[in-house]
Amino acid sequence: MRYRIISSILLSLIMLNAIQTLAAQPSVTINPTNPSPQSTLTFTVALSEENILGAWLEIQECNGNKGICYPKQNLSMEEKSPGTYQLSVTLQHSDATYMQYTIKLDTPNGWEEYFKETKVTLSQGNNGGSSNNKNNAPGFEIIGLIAASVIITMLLRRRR
Amino acid sequence: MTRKRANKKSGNKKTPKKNNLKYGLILIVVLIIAAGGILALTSSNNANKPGEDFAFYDLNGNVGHLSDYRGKVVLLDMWATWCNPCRYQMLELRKAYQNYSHNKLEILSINIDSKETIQDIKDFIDTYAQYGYPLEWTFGKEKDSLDKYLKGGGIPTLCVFDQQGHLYFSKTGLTFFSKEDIPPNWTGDKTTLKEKIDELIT
Repeated sequence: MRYRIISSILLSLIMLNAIQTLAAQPSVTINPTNPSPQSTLTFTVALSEENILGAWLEIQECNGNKGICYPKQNLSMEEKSPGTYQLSVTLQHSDATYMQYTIKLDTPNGWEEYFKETKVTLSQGNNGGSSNNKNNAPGFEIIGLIAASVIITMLLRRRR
Repeated sequence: MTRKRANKKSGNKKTPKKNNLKYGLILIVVLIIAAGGILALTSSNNANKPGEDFAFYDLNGNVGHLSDYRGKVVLLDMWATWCNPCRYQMLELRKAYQNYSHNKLEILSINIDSKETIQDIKDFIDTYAQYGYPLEWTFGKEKDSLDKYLKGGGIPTLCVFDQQGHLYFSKTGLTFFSKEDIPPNWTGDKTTLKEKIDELIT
């Protein structure tokens, strides 16, 4: 009976600690979700932790094909509302194939890191993959315009 | 005046022009030879110029210099702990360190991120050692700026200095030790450490 009480107390303490840890973990959203090289993306960090003195984003761009990483950027995030920090970043390198970021929080207990070196693959298409011309041959519209103008010209000549 | 006399007269007039042309050609040849000689002298003067030097902090906080390694080929590796290609580069540098006499080759891995500490570097090295890849060459942090060796700021950047301290070769991006180490699908630069070191160490 004693052991059951002790084990249930221990279990509840462990669960309580886990819940608190999860609750303290910030969440990050990146818009657009499929960024491309040299695009502008917005990082939004939502915190449940209070007494945050500041939030910083560390970001580095790399080219995995050449095995190169470019210098890290350390950028201060703006508090949009209590507990929500945001930053827009424009990627700098046209040949970057991925980026890595880390969220750093300045707390009364010191610096805390989250999402350490989280890797995001950069899409190598047009405008972060939002192009409407993916399924069409390039220049298709121009060919149509030229054909239409030729036909109209021929029709006009016939009338004359 | 007959045509023959006229031609004789005009032939005498042509002689000075031909002489001028000859002298002009000789002068041009002499100038070319002189220019070649000056170039040769210039290049030999470069070889006699003092080698490059810079200072760095080793992991004990002591100051080291590139010039401390005169007489050896020095491989300068500019890196940071957060750089994934730099982490892989360490394995390739380890192959270079194992394949050459320490009397002939030295590797300086200098961390160029001012926000990283000596302890960060030590922890990095310890991690490799734990996985069975001891990194036994010289590590340190920047003291003098190494910006002039960083091409476009990308890392890893490797510089090879000859035994007199002259910059012999530099490259930005992951560099494999030998041709055999290059993965089949590698699309990056295929220059290897071995070929560059072998050009200096005979």
